[in-house]
Amino acid sequence: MTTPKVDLKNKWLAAVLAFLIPGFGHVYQRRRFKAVIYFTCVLGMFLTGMTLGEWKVVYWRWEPGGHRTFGYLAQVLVGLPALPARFQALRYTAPPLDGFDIERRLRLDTIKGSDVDSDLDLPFTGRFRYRPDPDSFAPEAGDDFPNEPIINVTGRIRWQREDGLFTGSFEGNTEDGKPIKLAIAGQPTVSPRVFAHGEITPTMLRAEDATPVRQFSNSLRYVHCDVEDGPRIGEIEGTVERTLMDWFQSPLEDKALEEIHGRLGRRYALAEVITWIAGLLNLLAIWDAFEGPAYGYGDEEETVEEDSVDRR
Amino acid sequence: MDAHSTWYLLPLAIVISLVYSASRYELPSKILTRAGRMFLTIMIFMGIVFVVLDTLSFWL
Repeated sequence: MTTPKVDLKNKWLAAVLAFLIPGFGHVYQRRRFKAVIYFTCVLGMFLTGMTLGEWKVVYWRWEPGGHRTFGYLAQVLVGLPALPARFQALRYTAPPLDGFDIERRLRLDTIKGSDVDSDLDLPFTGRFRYRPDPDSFAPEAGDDFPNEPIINVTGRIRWQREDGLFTGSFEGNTEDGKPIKLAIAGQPTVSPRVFAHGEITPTMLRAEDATPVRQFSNSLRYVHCDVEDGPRIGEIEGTVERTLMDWFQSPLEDKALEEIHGRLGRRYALAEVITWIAGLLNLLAIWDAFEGPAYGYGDEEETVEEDSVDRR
Repeated sequence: MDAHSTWYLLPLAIVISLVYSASRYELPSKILTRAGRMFLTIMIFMGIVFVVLDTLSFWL
């Protein structure tokens, strides 16, 4: 209720400020004690939930008949700290290729996603292997081509697409320090740019006896492409960096959610609930900034007692 | 994690009590008093629920 003892100033502006940053509406109204309570409690709770859920509990997905993040409707009440999710959802569904829509994106396997960047120029870490050389094949050695060794490489990978064709190169060094330069051949495979918790498990270049361990990452993108080194052909597989702006609050796909739920278990559910509560609590703060304290200033009971004493 | 997740109730109850009371009153002393009372109410209620459920699960 509105009490004359509280100067709400422009209550619409205060409500908007209280929505954008918890407590800021009250700072504007010079109600500093409450501003500290709202800012500390709401943001503290929101950040606690985000940390518990490895910063992947706030995202926006709204597919008709499919996954819908109803919880975001509560989280977004925290304001600016949760608003990037809506923006990231738009970037996530923005088509790098013509006619690319969210249904198609969700059907795609993360690793084999075909929304390849038209231009890419990033540091690369991974592995390289020549394909078997037919000229050196000795029939008496057996029916199969011998496997070439897998070489760890670091360097820079770049490509561009013109008229549907990819051209580019990888330049770097092997683990022995030898320089290596390879030309991109064919269309690379790369996991999407705006993405969170994508799988980066090596699938092509893995030692025969290596135990496959699924790896997921926010800050790395999986890359695989065929390469040429003069007359010889080979393939490279590895990762390039993904910036914070490209993964923070990006939509999580089903495979990522399965991995997180499997690993974090109830902790992820608790993290979600904590962020929901934070948003719902800020709704109280927004209403307080707009309409004032619900039960009054807080000295009403004492006033009534004083009145009754005066009457006697 | 699972064994200790119940402890998150403490900060959760404190935060909920503070924010709820802050949205009801304006005076800092009143807010803190009501928040303290609400926190105790929540803890007692949850304690009773815990004891009841723990007792019921004794025979499981």
